[in-house]
Amino acid sequence: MNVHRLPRLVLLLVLAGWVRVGSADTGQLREVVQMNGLNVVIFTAPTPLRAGEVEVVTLVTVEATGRPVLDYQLDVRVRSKQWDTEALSLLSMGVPDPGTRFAKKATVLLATPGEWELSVEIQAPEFDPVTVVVEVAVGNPHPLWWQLLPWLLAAVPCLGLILARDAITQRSRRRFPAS
Amino acid sequence: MSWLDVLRDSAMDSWNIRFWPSCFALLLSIVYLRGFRASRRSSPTRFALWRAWSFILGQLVVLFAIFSPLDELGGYLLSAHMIQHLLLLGVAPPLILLGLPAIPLLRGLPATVSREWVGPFIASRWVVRIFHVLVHPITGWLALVLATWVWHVSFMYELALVDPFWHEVEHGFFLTTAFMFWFPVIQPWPSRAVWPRAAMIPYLLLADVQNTVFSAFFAFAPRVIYPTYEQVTPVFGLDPLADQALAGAIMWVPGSLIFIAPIAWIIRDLRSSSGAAAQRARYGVQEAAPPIEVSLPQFSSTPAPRRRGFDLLRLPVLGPVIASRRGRHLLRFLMLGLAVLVVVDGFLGPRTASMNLAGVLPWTHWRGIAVILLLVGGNLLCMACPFTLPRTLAGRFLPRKLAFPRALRNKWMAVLLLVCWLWMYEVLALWDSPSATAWVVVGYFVAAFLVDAFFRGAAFCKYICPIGQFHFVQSMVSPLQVSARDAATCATCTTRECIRGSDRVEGCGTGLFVPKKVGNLDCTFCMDCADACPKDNVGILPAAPAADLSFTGWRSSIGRIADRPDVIALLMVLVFGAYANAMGMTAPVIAWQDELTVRWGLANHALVASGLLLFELALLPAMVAFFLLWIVPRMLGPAPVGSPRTGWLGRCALSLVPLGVAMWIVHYQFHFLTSWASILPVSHRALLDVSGGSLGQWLGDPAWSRACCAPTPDWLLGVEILILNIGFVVSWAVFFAHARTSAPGRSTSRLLFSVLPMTLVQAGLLFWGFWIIFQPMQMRGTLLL
Ligand code: SF4
Ligand code: SF4
Repeated sequence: MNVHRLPRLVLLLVLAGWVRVGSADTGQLREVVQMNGLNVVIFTAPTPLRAGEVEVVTLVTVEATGRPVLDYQLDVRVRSKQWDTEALSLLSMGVPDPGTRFAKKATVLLATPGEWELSVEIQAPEFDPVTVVVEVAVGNPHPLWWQLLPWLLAAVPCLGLILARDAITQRSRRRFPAS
Repeated sequence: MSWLDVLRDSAMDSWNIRFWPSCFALLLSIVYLRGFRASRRSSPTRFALWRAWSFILGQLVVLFAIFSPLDELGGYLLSAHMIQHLLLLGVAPPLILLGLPAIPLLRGLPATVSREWVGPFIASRWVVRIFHVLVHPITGWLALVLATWVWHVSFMYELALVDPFWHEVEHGFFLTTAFMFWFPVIQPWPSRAVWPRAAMIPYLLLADVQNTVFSAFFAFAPRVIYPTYEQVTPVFGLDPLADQALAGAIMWVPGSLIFIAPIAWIIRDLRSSSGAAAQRARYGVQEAAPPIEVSLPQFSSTPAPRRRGFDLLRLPVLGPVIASRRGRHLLRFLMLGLAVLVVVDGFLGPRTASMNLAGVLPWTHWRGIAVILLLVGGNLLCMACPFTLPRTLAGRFLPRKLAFPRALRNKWMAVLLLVCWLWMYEVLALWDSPSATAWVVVGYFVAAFLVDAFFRGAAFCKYICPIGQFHFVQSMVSPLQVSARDAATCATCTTRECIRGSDRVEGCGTGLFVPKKVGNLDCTFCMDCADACPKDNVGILPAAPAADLSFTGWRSSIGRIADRPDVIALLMVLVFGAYANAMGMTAPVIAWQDELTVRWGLANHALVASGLLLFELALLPAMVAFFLLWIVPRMLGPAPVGSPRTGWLGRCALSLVPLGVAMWIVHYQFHFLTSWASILPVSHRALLDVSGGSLGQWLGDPAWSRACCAPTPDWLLGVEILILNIGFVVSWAVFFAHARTSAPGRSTSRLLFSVLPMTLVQAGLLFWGFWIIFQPMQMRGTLLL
């Protein structure tokens, strides 16, 4: 193997990996239910929940065998217990989840802090639909500047690096004045 | 579908590729392989090919651990999670270390980075000491054991399960401590062992003993340790306790193998000869080791030496176009065509700016593309400038004998016109009036023709054109500049056609002498010097980005910037203009102007907007300038070179340029990214107008919905903040370098204190920028307005 070709090989491998991109982080376990011959596990992320976009992740297996069900449709409705309004989740749940086969993911908007109901509906072929209602407490969202804090403070480590380099150089100059 | 099918399916499809780790691994591999190639040339035995494979394999194992279905299954099955941890703790790090990464990584970095930024750190006694402590066998052993045990405590483990952030922190800990642990075992060249080789046998054995205790704890635990698995694992029809025992077995058997196998390798080494001889045999130390080039950085007052190799003029396709006079004229005629379209549509098209070519082409597209081109390619925009065509015309048909008046040979007129330009844009809403835009373009052509018809050289570009000044200053941070390919050729050149001109071509119109030229200031990239040079010695070559801003010496045709108040004023206006121009489109400023207009009973907001602009472009820069003039010499002493009055001010103004560039980029990219599609319906409409509607049956109606603003991409705000931060860091680094030159013996902490006033100004601009981008923006150039 010509060592000159290795970077191209690495590039190819990494690009090949991009075929399906998604997130596998499941989040906090909310509910495990057995219904209509299925096991349904529901996770939510982020932890703790804050007003804004929230991910609802589901894992479905056959109750009798434990075999994961891969091709099911996920639909999530959300309802604020304070406002008593109902809204469909932001993303269509019929779209296969990008990236993972075990878990499907839906992003929903929980617009305000408070108590919310997530109504998770699973429609798996050969099984009756399963609806699970999960009640969640949603906290205040972080302010925008807080969410962007790593970006806002990006300059600080750079300045630290410049100063460290300068300090090292000065120290060396003192030790070896000719340099 | 069987379990096997499910696993096969998931293995094919459940890959969780993440962008940043992929980029990091790719970059690391490229740097390593670049350095490995160089290292292998000088020491083929030590850098055997299998080492490169080992390094790459190690990286792939890390990526497999965090991207593969293992990562997802780890959320449901402890056994899968344990395999992931095993890969991170015991497989990837030794493989990477076997690749002897230190020297290849160092040699693979660009020379400037390794010399200026890595060299000082690896040459520092402190850094070396800390590194030695970290990779000492005792530290490494304890770190790995602690990380393994602490992260498997129920609370910590559950934290990593529910929160991706902590999950990544956990992986970071595992990888770091594993590197520390395996370092003395592998002892990658050129490091030296602190313990005899034989000591690695008890080291590994003890690690195996603790691993056995750890594994047994899981294998024989009477209850499920982690509550999540207790609930989730059964849904796969598995017993969580059995899964936990399996996890223990995985850690026990393959885990032990990972610790025991290297013992066999070490014993083989020890038996074959003494440890040192074995090392020599293994690494082929008979050859001379390649010298590690580490030199201490110097804060230089001259720009870094230009790199040879890349030359834009020698690129395939683009190179021949811009290297030839005809090719450059072609570019100018293309731009002229666009300018004609803008003028015609501006005068005859609809009055609504967002439906007119004159409303979108110059203000959304040209500006958006311009700032990026200036940043990456130098002043390529002036090269393609259609306003230089009248000059060529005038040169051909008119005598052009006059020299530009001496009193006007400075930047004051350009500064004034620049302020007028910004004023017209904001107060007269140039962006909102296609006909006014068309008049400006026509006026530009007339002015360029008149000035260049009477005066020699490129007087219009150098002394008058506000757009040109914008290009000159923005391209000061660009990594490309017109310069001599070989300084030695210029040194022996007596004819100097690049500035004097030849029979065929005029010399540099802006009076720049190529061998003495520094940076892109005043360079229009016209390439007349390249045409004139008989030795084909002019190219568009790489230069360290922003190095131009650290240069305080004499520049061809400009002199010292510190002695040029007109150039300083130009820099200040362009820096503060960036913020003033962006701030004018924020909702609170518009509301505030409207409120004052009503309160003062004015007919329109022109007076208030003019007052605000006057403050931002003249009063504020003047106040900042006086503050800096007063404080900086007190903190840093007199300027090393340049006028005692403006010496420091010139340096301050130069160092503020990156902050200005960052704000211009953020502002123009915002418009471009949210409104680029507006060109589609507008050109569609123009085509229909030109055809008198006859093309309507084929083209249909323009999709005016696209002339409205696209939703702002989620990532844009983060990127804008990053760009402003980069501007701030470069700006700060440039001034710090100036300060270091003036006080070479001062300690870092004292110098940090001395640059505080300037840091305050820079931070002020940074936060001004942050404030602007956090505000709701007027969507100029879209149907929303
Ligand atoms: S660029 Fe060409 S003409 Fe100018 S000094 Fe160098 S060799 Fe002579
Ligand atoms: S002739 Fe002058 S302005 Fe034109 S590219 Fe050469 S140095 Fe720059």
